[in-house]
Amino acid sequence: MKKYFYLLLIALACPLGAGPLPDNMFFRAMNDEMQRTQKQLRVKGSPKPYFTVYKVTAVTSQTFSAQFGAPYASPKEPETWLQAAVYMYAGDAKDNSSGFVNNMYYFEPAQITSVPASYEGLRRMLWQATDIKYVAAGDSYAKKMAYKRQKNITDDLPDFSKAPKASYVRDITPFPKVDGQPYQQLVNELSAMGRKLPYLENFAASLRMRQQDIYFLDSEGDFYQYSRPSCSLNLSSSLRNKDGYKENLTENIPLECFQTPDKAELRAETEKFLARLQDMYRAQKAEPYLGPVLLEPKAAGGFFNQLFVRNANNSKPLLSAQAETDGTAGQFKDKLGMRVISHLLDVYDRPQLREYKGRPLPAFMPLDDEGVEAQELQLVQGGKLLALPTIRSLIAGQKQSNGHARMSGRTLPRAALTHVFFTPRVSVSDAELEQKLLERCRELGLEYGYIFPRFAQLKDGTGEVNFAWRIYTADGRKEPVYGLRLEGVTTRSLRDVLAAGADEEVSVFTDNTTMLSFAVIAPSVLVDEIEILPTQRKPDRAPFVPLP
Amino acid sequence: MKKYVLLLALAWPVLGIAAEPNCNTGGEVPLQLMEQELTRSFKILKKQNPPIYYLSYTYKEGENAFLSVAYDGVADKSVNPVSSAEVMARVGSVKLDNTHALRGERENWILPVWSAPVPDPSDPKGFLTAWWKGTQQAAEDAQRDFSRVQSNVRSMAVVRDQSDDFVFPPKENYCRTEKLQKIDLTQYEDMLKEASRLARGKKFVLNASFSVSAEQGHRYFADSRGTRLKTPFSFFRMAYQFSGRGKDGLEISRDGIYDVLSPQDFPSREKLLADVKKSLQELEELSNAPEGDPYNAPTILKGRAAAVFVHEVMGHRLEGYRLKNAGDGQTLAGKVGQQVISPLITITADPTQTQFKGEPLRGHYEYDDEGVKARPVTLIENGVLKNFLMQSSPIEGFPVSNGHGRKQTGRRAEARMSVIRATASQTVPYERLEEMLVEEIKRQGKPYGFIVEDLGGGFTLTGTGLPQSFKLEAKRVLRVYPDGRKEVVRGLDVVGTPLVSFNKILAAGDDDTLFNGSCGAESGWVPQSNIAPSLLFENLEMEKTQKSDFKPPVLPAPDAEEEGK
Repeated sequence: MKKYFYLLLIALACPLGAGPLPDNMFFRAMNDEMQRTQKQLRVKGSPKPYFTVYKVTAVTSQTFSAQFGAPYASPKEPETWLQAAVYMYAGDAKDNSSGFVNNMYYFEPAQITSVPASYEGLRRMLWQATDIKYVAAGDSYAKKMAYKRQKNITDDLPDFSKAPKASYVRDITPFPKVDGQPYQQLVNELSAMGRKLPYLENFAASLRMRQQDIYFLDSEGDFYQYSRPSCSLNLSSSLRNKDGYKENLTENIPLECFQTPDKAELRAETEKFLARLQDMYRAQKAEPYLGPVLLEPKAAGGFFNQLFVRNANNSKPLLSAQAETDGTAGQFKDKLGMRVISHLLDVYDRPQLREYKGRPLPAFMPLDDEGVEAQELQLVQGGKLLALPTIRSLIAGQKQSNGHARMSGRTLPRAALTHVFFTPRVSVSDAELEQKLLERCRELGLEYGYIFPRFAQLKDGTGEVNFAWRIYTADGRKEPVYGLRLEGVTTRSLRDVLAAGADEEVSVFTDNTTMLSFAVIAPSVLVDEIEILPTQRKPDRAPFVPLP
Repeated sequence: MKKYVLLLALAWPVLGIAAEPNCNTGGEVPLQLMEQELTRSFKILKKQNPPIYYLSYTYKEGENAFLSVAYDGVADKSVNPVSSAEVMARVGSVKLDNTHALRGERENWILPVWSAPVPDPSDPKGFLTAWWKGTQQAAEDAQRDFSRVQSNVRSMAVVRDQSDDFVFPPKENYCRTEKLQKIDLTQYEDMLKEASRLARGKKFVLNASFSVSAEQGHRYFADSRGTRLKTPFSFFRMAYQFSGRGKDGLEISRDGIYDVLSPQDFPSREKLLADVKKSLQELEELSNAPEGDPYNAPTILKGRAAAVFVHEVMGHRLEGYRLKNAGDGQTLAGKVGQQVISPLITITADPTQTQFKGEPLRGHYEYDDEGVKARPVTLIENGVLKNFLMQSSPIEGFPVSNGHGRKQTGRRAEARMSVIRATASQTVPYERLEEMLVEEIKRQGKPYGFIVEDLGGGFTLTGTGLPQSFKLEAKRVLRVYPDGRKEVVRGLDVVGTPLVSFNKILAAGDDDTLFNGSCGAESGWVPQSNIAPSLLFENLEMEKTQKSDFKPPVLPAPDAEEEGK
């Protein structure tokens, strides 16, 4: 915890008032085109540009991979590319084109890939994308006004609220020259460890180093510039378990970027991964179960991501003439002040945190993508929903944005969480938590309970967990189980958290629709009731030919 | 000696230099490992029910390099090693197997085979396990597909051509290694940037791009019949393209492509800059040109345009497998020995050719993707249909492959074009061809005719669900008046049907021209070459091209505005 406070203080100590634009090619090109856009871009009869955003990202990436000790061919030099995103609202502060889409599930991409790395190239790409966005904004504005008249929408909320000018600038350190040989050697060695389990059909290790240098400018003069490095080791394997079910397992281990990895530590992590594969191979199939489940930190991360984070995001529904409701809007938008989660938990979002417990966080954001300082939020206190992430297009009861507009090439700026902390008001040790699980099972007359290392990917409350531990009430014995189909898991389950541990871990996720990354930091939690049925998947035949 | 050299110089550009084997397949580590796993697997797989009766492995290793430049900046620069494996399994028997065309099922259009990146063969365990996994998956998929084929054959209408699904390719053993050529992308950066600066300030240019690409490496092939091959491949290309859009949404473009045998043969800076300037002039001319109207009139397809025409309009209909696909139009079915096009024209396919007038032929290869030796084929002789492009899937009257089974990685091979060449039994100088065009315009009493100087590509419909027609994207069209005056027009495409169009050829030029490209069809994208002389047609139909819904940008390009200040 100490480290966390220290880092938070550093972040808060950096003032966010606007200063001079950094003098580099990116800002020169963005600023010159922005001036032209705001002053000259007009079509007679269409609203003028009101708010324009330019975001340029320089990405550098290098990967080393191997399977069973054999290296995959990889480029000698890191790959580098530039991409740019443009967004624009047309109209004015009261009424503008924001928040209206032609199609609820497909937003016109705001991203340009393969941008030439020159002032002229950047200007050209921004010019063309701005023009496309201006045409789209004019179209959205007209349709939005017509829709509001048709639906008699007469709220007085402005479409775009004021915010103090803000900026954040950090020097960009170039992606370092990497001697690939030691990294390749490392992944060769780690992937060769998979040879000791003869039933593995694949065992690969992949080490990725990546740096994103981000440059942002909006038409109100807000700007930011910083680097976001991310490095990790990915282990992946596949096998057919003893009953013939094909199973895949992956593990992502964060690394300190551009530092020599601790080989012994990574070997130990790989050993742990192999141990899980061994358990997975010998596991028995799940049987019907209704009762308490202990979610280890990574499983708790998945549980909270799907039931809480998704429902807290997109707090302002989009409007569209094609659909009456916005299916992407979170369910919590109407639940402010209500109990949405167990009273044992407080929930925070901390966008300005760069790392936590030595692990880099994926969504560090000093300013949001509408140029507003990204604020720390207490979302939940004692189970009650206090706040939601918001943007400059206001929702009822809100006076200004709390700086949570996030955009990507796949989405327009929408309210989204960044680093979500689930903090127990009272925590217990791992052993106590396990005891609480067993006690609860005994109360319910159950022969055993479950411990999940990972959670399911839910769809309509249903999903599969491919590995769990069954723990027996009689003697605390644990047995591995596969093929657990979860049924009826809804936001109701958030209120069923009975206890929480002190063993919090960072779980990183990427939204499949927006491709935005975020983190959930959660401890183990005991959930009172989850319904489990055996998987409906069918086993595969044994391989025709034995493994070489 | 002088005469010999002169003859060689004349002959060499057309015939290329025959390659000789220079290594031993038995000494190649990837082939040794592939053979080890293939042999071990096939022994077991052939005893399954239904049996896997044929198995082949393809391994590609090499390097892809790419540089893209625009507006004085590098947009993309990468050098990526390539190491990929493919497994093809056939289940059932040569009479009926899992590749049999299914009737009434749309997903049959794309023909996937198992493929994936594989680790380096220097460590056998990883390499062998990848092949094992691929073989298992390919065998499972093939068994599943064979069940569907059996059911489909029982329940659906009978096809006309009852030929077998497969003929075993002859056993081959060939090994040739080429040293990969060094390509330093950095040395082209300045040259391409300088060329890109020529477009600066030009209001009619909406987009510009310049690139250098190199694909080179070796393909290893092993099958359960004992064929073992190692062959090199290399493609080097420099290219540029400019495009623009009029206020009416009509898009225009000009481009330049240089395919070379070696990076040293890329055009000099002076040559590239001169060509780029010419293309920019042509684009400006197009941007100011009037829009053409749909019309049927005497037309010359010049050089490259004629080569694209031959490819799209007749080439695809000469791909043999289409004749036993019930969903195909089968334009040429049952016409062997009959006059199908103008008697002036002969069409051949010859993948053994390596060069044409000093330019490499992208459609050249030594063995096709089914391990069959490439060979020349006369498809149409003086207008009479003689043969088809064949893979290892027989059709009536053509029981064996002629080395044209081709595909992109991850697809199943089908008969595809290689180096397609149209020649004429009588030719005239191009200038005379233009005179003949004017005479024909006058004879027909037409107000004008057309010269199509460049076609960008096109498509042809061969399915029975749609008309057996083609549409070719004309990049540069001249309207030619009876007084010989020429005027550039924009916004026209060439359309028609194959049998009618090919019978309207009146004369051919003596200016055989090469068009190197890539062709996409059911078995994916394959590199391909087309050679044809300029062709004069009694008439061809032009129709309006598709327009963009968008106007040009509201503001001028930043560099165009600054030039104007």
